[in-house]
Amino acid sequence: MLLHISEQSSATLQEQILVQIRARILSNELATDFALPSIRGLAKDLKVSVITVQRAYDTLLNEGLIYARRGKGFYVAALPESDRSAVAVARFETNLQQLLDAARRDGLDETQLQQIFTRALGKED
Amino acid sequence: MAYLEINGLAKHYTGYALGPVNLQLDCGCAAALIGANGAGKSTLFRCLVGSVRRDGGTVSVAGQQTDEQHVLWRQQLGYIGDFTPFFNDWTGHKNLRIRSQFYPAWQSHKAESIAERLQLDLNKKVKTYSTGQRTKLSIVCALAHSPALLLFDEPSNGLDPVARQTLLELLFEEIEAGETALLYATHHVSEVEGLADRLIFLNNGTVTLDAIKDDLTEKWRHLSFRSEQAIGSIPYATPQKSELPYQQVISEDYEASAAFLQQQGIHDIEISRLSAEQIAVEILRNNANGANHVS
Repeated sequence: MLLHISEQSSATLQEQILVQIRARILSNELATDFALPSIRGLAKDLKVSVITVQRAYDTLLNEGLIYARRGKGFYVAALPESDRSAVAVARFETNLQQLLDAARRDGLDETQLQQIFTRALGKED
Repeated sequence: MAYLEINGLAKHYTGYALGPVNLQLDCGCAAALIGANGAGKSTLFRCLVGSVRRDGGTVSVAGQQTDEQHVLWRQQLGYIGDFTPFFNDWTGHKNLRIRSQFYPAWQSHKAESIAERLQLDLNKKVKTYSTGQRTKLSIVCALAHSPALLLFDEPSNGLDPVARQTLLELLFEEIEAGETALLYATHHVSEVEGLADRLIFLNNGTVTLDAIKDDLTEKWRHLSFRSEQAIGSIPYATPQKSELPYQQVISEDYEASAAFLQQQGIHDIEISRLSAEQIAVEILRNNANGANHVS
């Protein structure tokens, strides 16, 4: 599993790992029952401490996105399609909210925001 | 469970003192021991394995006290240090056979597979071995009985790059199995960056820093920014060589340093991560400078 740790990102290592694995699960890129790398294996590849990967996996466990088999490791959990999109929607709304807050602080108004959003979706009329 | 527990270990020579050192490594922990030449790394290892008598303190390995009355703990130890005794006129094979007698947990097939992976010819007499080949044989001896504690003092000295990589893979497998703790002294932090969770810094005989690697890599950053005036004494930051108006610092708490710069009206700050190796160099340099200030 190829993850990318950014040199410049202000996000913590744990967040970067978490966000990338989560995105791949939600986008179906990692299928149900896919075996995630061992904690130490991923720590080695990314040159991070074991505890960092452990915390990221713990969060995914709590979110129900992965499950553990005792002594075997971690696997992608089966998510009903509806759950998958519900989680994705919730996540997108949270991210969008942050962007909107920042944009409003920068002085963009509702009309501008709507224009940007429509343009980004490629449906400008 | 603590696989290595050091309490108040001390050793005094004239003009030099180690300790008191307190350290604990849990099962499954891999720690890198880092320090300048003469910081006391090898003395610490020698005190731990008992080749040098310690002046004070206690050490336990996998729950067993290590003192002269007890010897069983040695079976829980895999050590690579300055010297592993071999019989020079015997082949690698025969040396391993003799050694295996002292370790009930010795696995011959494991010993052979490690030798093969290190490309070590066990049919040759040890006296024909190069330094690197002797080290390879030491590695076989340190791992064949799957000990609870691995004490490796610059084990990659004299090893070629391929063997060094193999050594790291072997150690990774030992740690991954989860029944081992590793203390690995090295001058090349980048070598163990993928293996070590903890970085332990030794300076002038004392542990000056014992930290989770990622706690360091999260906080230490390289900051570069533009300012027509030189900005002196940024908190937590050490200035790097730079030419106005471009300035660079390395900070051990980048959020604090960046906040300070923002107060000075500097907002365009480029922040990038540092490797564990770069951080270690900075810490060692600060240690050295600190020592200079005192003397």
